[in-house]
Amino acid sequence: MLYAGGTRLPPTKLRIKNITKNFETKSNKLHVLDSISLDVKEKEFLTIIGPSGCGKTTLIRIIAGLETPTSGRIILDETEIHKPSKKIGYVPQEYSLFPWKNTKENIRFGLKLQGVKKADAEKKIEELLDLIGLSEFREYYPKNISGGMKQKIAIARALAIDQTLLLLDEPLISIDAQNRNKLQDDILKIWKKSERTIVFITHNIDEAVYLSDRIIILSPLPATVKEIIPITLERPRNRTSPQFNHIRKEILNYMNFD
Amino acid sequence: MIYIILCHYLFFSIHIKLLRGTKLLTSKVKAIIITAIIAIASSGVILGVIFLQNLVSPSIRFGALSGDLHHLPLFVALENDYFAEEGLDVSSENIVWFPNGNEVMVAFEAGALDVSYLGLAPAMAHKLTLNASIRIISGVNVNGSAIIVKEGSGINTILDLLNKKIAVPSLNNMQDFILQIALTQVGLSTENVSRLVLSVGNMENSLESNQIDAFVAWEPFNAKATNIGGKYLSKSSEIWLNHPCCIIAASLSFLKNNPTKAQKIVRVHKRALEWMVNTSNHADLINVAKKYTGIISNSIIETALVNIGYVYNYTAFQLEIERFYDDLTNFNSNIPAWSSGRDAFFQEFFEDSYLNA
Amino acid sequence: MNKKKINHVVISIITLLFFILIWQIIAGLNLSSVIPTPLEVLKAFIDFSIEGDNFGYNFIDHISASLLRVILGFYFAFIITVPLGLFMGLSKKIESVFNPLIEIFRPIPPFAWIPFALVFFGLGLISQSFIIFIGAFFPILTNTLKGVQETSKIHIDVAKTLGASRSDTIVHVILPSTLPSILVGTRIGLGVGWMCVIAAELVGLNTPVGLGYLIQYSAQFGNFGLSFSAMLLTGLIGFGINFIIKLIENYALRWRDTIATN
Repeated sequence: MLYAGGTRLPPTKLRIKNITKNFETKSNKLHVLDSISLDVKEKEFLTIIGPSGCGKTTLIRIIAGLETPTSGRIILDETEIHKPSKKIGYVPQEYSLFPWKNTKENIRFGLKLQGVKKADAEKKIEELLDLIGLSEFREYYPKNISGGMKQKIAIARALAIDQTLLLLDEPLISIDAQNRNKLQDDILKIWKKSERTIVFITHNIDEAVYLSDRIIILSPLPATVKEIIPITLERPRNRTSPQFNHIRKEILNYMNFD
Repeated sequence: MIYIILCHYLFFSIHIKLLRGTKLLTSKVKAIIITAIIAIASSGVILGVIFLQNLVSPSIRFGALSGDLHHLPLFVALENDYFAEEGLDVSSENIVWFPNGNEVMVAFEAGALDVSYLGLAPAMAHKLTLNASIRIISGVNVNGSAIIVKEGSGINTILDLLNKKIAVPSLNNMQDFILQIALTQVGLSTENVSRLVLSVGNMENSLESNQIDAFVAWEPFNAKATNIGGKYLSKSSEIWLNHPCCIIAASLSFLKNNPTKAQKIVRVHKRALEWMVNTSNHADLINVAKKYTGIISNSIIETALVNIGYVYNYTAFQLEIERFYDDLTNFNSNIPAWSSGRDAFFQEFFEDSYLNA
Repeated sequence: MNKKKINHVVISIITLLFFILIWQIIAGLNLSSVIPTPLEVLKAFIDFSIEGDNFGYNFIDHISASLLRVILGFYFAFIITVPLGLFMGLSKKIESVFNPLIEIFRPIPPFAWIPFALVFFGLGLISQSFIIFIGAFFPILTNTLKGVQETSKIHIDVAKTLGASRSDTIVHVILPSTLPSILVGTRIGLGVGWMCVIAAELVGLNTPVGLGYLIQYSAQFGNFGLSFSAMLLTGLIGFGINFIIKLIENYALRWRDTIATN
């Protein structure tokens, strides 16, 4: 694939090879993912989109190492992933901040586990707070923080340990429409500044088109890669431009499953 | 003791190690400090507990019945420090007060008691049924119980007790036994009345509110009931003159290991009796009685005292004791006679040697 | 907010006064000498505070005796059940080992253990504390176990992706997450323990100090004013214990989102 605006193929960050996942219950076998393969490029913003319940969360959990596939492999930077590690950051759909820690302490969590000295950690935390624009909220507890802010802090917490791949599972799903647009911009800003590779999940087409370099469309169960849509529009993208609408329509068509 | 402290320490450190795994902690120093603090703190508590236990655990485990005027010589001995004078670690702080004689026997059987004042009936009953490992080392009193009914209740003789509700401190204890004898004397048995168990402290109120028709208790609870309209239906001395009542019992292991102490305990008891018969001590005697029973009226104490005969030398009452044994085993199918006979039983059950302490 | 708090206090006081009034009326009917009037109770309370009992013990002595038994029994229950609950929550195998025993022993009321305690611990402080130990044991254990089992999977997953090892997860996620349950168990355990000690003292077999003992002993000799005082003190102290733990809870768990608002 050609990278628009460049001459070199960027290295592959993440290889998803033939991931199949089945769940066995007492009565039947549920095929969730069916031989999904795709490559994620370094520093790319990749979105996986699909109808609700099509296994997107399962896929992302497998990438994170939180679940094992029935068959297939996940390879990150030439190493296979079998279990969760600090090489891959993960922000789940649900609010995941530790409620007994305030903002600062939440962000500090990964650093604490690594034994980073207090002074160095403080510096890092301040940078991240600045990046997500929540410096005044450093002593607040999650109970006093709005949903969008919580998700940003969750992202900052993941970023604190300098992994290079970040997985975001529908982070804005519970955010209301007004704030969502602003938060999308925030996420883009964070992505650009932190220079991470991001794999993003959503079921919202607008959101996918606005944010991504490429969009992977999954089919309903059992999920396979239905289509891959590259988006070369320059950012910040105009949500009402004809090109935007065109891409949106295209995706909508692909997602009209009979 | 050190063993317990070490166990405690190990306990905590093992738990913490298990929780944290053997992986190097991010802050090793912190972990060591925390472990040390917990270990020291818990060791401190353990030491404190052990210290307390030594404070509260007397070298002689001594029992008596709560508020029982039959045990007045014991109260006198405590007030006059006779035990301390004999070098015995017995004081009102470390005596255990039981609600009735059967509870005393339970404690003996659990190996938790060394010496106690209690009624002869539960002691003998437990010896016969369970071969409880105790021996009687001294008598304490004769008489001193009564059947109390309410004035105007229409109960004027023992026969009137037919089908009535009667409270006793415990089944097969002294008072229950007295009731049995009284009923048998008029051709009735405990089957003809309705007995229930109440602690002596609650009997008076139950009588007053007519929940029961009569009760049988030890003094001073009989005298005290006259305040609320209770009257003596029959004193135990009227039912059976000079029946043995309370005695001092000691566990076999205590007697084996501490014969001199047992001797001293009986000597203390005798000294108290000597003090009691001295009329110049009468006013003080009333005060001691009031202190240990919680009664505030002198006249009630006086009334109660009239009903009790303090006697330590039970051998002078051999016939009464024999009759005691006979009635106890005959009236109660659940209390078997001693397999080798009454005389052999007395040999084993009564230890006369301390009487000339 | 201050105004609302004052309102609450005022309402409580009015309720109390109302209750005392009703009490006075009922007692005044003189149905039985067993029911003292509020004034009699107050008088008995003051008299006893000044004079103490026949053996020189005053309220403080009785209260501390009961409290000591509770604290001792509770301490040992706590240090055993919290780790036990933790380990049971962390390992299904350990849980299955202890579960049957726990289910069998849990319904047995603490007093049923008295004969057992006698044989093992004799008469005295350790024996009494053992009954409290039994009373506090199960609430703390059950709540701790529940707390561990209810730890949010999301939190554990996220912790793993932040580089947490198994032991890190235990210390940094499961433990703080379980703390609220442990505190609830503590509060309940102490409450049960306090009730146990009073009731155990009522049954007897004790040295003549203790609030429960005082309740029984004073009733036995007709001093119902004193008996009621001791009962009220029992209630007050039980309330006090609960209140203190609640304060600790509120401080330690100030991060909690609650449903109740001002």
